[in-house]
Amino acid sequence: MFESILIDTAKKLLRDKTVDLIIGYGSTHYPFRTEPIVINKEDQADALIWNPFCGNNLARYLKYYKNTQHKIALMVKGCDSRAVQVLLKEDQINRDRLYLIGLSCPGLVNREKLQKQFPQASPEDFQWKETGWFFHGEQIDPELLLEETCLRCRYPNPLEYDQLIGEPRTTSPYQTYQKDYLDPIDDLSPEERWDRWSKEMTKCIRCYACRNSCPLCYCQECFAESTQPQWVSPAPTPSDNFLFHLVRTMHMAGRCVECGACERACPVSIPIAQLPLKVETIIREQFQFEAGTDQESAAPLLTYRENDPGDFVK
Amino acid sequence: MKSGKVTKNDLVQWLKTHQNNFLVTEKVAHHQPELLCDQSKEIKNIKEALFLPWDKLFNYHWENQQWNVDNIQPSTSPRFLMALPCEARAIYEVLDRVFLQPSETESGYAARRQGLKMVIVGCINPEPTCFCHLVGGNPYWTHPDALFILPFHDEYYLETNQPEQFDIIEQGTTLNKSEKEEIEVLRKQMEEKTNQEKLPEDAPQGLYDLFEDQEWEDLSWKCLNCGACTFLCPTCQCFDMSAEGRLKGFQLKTWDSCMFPKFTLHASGHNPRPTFKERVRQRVLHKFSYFPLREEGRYGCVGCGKCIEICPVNWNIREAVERMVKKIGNRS
Amino acid sequence: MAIDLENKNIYLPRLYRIMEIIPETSDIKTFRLDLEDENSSHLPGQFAELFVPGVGEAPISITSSPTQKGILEFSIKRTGLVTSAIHRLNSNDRLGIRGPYGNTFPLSDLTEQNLLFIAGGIGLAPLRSLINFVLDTEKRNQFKKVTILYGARSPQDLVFKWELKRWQMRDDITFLLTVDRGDDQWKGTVGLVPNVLKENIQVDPLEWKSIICGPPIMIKFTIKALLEMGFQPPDIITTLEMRMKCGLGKCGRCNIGPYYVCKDGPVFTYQQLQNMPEEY
Ligand SMILES: Cc1cc2nc3c(=O)[nH]c(=O)nc-3n(C[C@H](O)[C@H](O)[C@H](O)COP(=O)(O)OP(=O)(O)OC[C@H]3O[C@@H](n4cnc5c(N)ncnc54)[C@H](O)[C@@H]3O)c2cc1C
Ligand code: SF4
Ligand code: SF4
Ligand code: SF4
Ligand code: SF4
Ligand code: SF4
Ligand code: FES
Repeated sequence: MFESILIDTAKKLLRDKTVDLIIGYGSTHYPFRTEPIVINKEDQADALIWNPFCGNNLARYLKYYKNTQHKIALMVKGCDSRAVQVLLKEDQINRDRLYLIGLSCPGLVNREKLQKQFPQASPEDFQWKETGWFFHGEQIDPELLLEETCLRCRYPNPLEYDQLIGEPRTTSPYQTYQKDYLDPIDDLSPEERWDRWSKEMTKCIRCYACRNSCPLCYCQECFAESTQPQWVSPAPTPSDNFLFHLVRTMHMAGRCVECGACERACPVSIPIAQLPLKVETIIREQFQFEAGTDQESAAPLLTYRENDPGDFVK
Repeated sequence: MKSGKVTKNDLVQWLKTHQNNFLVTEKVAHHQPELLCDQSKEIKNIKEALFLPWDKLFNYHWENQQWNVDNIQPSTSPRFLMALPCEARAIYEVLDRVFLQPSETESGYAARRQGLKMVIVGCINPEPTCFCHLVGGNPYWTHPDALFILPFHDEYYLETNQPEQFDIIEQGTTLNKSEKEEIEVLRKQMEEKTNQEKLPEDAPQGLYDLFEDQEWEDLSWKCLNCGACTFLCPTCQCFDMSAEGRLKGFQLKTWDSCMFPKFTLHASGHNPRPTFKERVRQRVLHKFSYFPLREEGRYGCVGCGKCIEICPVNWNIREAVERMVKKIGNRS
Repeated sequence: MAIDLENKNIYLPRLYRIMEIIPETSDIKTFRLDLEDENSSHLPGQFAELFVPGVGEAPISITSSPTQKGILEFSIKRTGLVTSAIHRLNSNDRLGIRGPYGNTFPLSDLTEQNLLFIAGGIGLAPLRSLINFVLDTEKRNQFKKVTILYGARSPQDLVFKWELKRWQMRDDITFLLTVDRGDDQWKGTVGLVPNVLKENIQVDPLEWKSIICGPPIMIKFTIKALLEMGFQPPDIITTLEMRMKCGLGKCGRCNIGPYYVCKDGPVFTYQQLQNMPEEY
């Protein structure tokens, strides 16, 4: 049902020349996998899909149109719309050039969890309804399926859109499940945390899929690849990997929109979003600020106030 | 060729006695977890065993008011490596051809390669993403120097040309006539599938002729130009070199990727492959055109499907190649 | 594939002492290295990987001719990390070298031929190796007429000024110098290389071979001019530049189609280039 609304919307946008192109999701040959697609003709609109496997943050693709004149329609989930707002605030694109097709999002399904729960299942075995996922008519506990980054989501509805596909959701997954995969990490001792991350960092091959999937990592030249000066060695040693990820995390501070696209991109399954997510949690608590929730307020790390209590500096 | 069969228990016992220097690829671990031992080391990608993610090429230091360089002697230590046929082909058919070129042999690779005893595990569970039969492989492909093992009626079929290297073969009982035939038939079926489905003979030249085709633009749009596909590809060979350490250090070799914009960037700022289109085209054509044109028709892709499995945007090399190969047909 | 374990470390450079550093322009210096009792085994057109410990490597054409015994010369423009570090070196410092790499100018095709050399800016560096090879007393009679056309952006940008003087004084070659923009002192020709070529050089294109090197844009227009003059694609020879690391056809970055510029090049005829994709 959502898809037919989506397709009709897309067709109309192209027919009326409201936009020149639409960036959205399409299906692949493989079950439970989608891909980003771009279309510019009405008859291509039938390829558009919307389901809980649409994990890419398509705001990523806006950077390639920064210097073009195209009017672009973009499919945005809650988190994606926050990314667009950060890009607007950072002057990366003009609002008049965008048509946001909002998607009220039930949370993305994690493919590994799905395969673990239902090893042999095919897409036909599942039904997705307003209230959640059903396996042959039986409702599935969302905790068993959803991406960890989505279980902690506070903004399932797009915060900025021109048209919304589906009814706005009244509760966020976080309100419903009260689950944040960062919490158990907070309970670890510093040594345990260090061990945990050291282990994760030995896995990283420095493919930069995390960075390249992130809608807000748009630098022309990333510090990680600069040779003059060289900040981090190209060797994927644990310490250099740490350095890369910690510096990237700091570059994301107050900008990360908690979409989890970086984590889903990682080919070696490192829960890499946990680093920027932790920083966002701190910023939310310390500064009552959440990135991309509006288009005006300046990010805390880009502001200076004389009366700053500074009590986070110990 | 010596062949035979052993019980699963005997095989696992043998693996256990060698487990301290046994590398197992993630694919094998995933397909046949019963072959894993506590101490065997799992590697993501077969090339990690030979072509390390990072490596020291030589040392240098400043002493007595001048620079000195010191060679590093690569060490050879015998190791077993258990891999699927596609992964093994990446070594025999691709990486060896790059790093063991006569007169330009890379000594580090050669030393590690010398010590390597390859155990090829017949593939009984092809995944939807893999396509070895398109590029000259098949699920029972093996190399005479390797030990080939295949689950066979609750036991394991073994085969090798190097019985001294793989003493387990001595424990094997010979196959009876009907068992032998069964193996033959299985093999035949697989080889026939390959012969029927493999890419057309003229694909490498045909794809090269399509260099200027508009389709590349379309094909490359969604690619993020990260290094995930090439770093986890068992055949991708590209590397970078840089100096690590100011007054004392080493020349560092690291994996590199044609998907990175900086890969070909000149110091002048000129870049022969400035956009996604050129970079994606390079990845496809290197594997399906340039490499076979240089290397007697062998593809630079073994069809393992890893790149498809892990790509964050589901970029699919097989689809891309098949789409372009169709164009060769349409033209002629 | 057989494994050759006797193999030496193909990446290991040898260190040689810098005998002399000759400033050429504001950002180009020529480095002369002392090979002690050795002679270089290179042939004109080849390059080497230069290594500065603690910094890295850069591929640089060997600009000296193999007929110059016991030395190697490199002319280097300061552009980035490694080339800047090389520029900071002093006489008697040691510089790492590995090579020679790549193919050479097709010497057998060039013997008994009339040779037209056309170079722009630092592009003279690789040609100089061949020019001095051809002009060597022992080799000169193996080649027929020699004409050299060299151009730079301004008089300050001319490299090898000391060498240019030597060439100018020789009466067995024709030597033409031009700059895009002259200054008060400049008395020579002013004009872009391709234009000067068309206006000032009258040769029978079927009787000459032309060897060119320079910035990409200059190469492009010079080839166009040569074709207009009637030169045949196999008789136009040039050398290409790509980003390189290994120099051995392994690191995978310098290919144009199935050809590795470091191994199958850097010297190509225009005929070869016509059959290659334009990805350089
Ligand atoms: C066969 C061959 C022969 C050569 N012969 C000579 C020769 O005789 N003399 C000579 O001077 N040179 C020669 N060159 C060119 C020389 O190799 C390069 O100038 C050199 O490698 C630059 O290395 P670097 O370390 O100084 O620069 P790097 O530090 O490697 O700088 C280059 C890198 O820095 C960045 N960068 C630099 N400039 C820019 C920019 N403008 N825009 C964006 N990014 C930039 C890019 O990442 C680039 O990859 C030759 C090259 C080849 C392939
Ligand atoms: S850092 Fe990760 S979670 Fe945050 S915006 Fe970027 S991709 Fe999304
Ligand atoms: S995607 Fe994963 S492996 Fe790649 S750089 Fe990021 S954390 Fe490392
Ligand atoms: S194909 Fe996929 S994995 Fe490869 S560079 Fe593109 S986005 Fe990354
Ligand atoms: S290109 Fe993909 S399918 Fe081919 S060998 Fe590499 S990882 Fe495997
Ligand atoms: S050129 Fe690209 S596809 Fe070919 S080996 Fe290198 S990284 Fe892999
Ligand atoms: S420079 Fe490494 S392949 Fe040419």
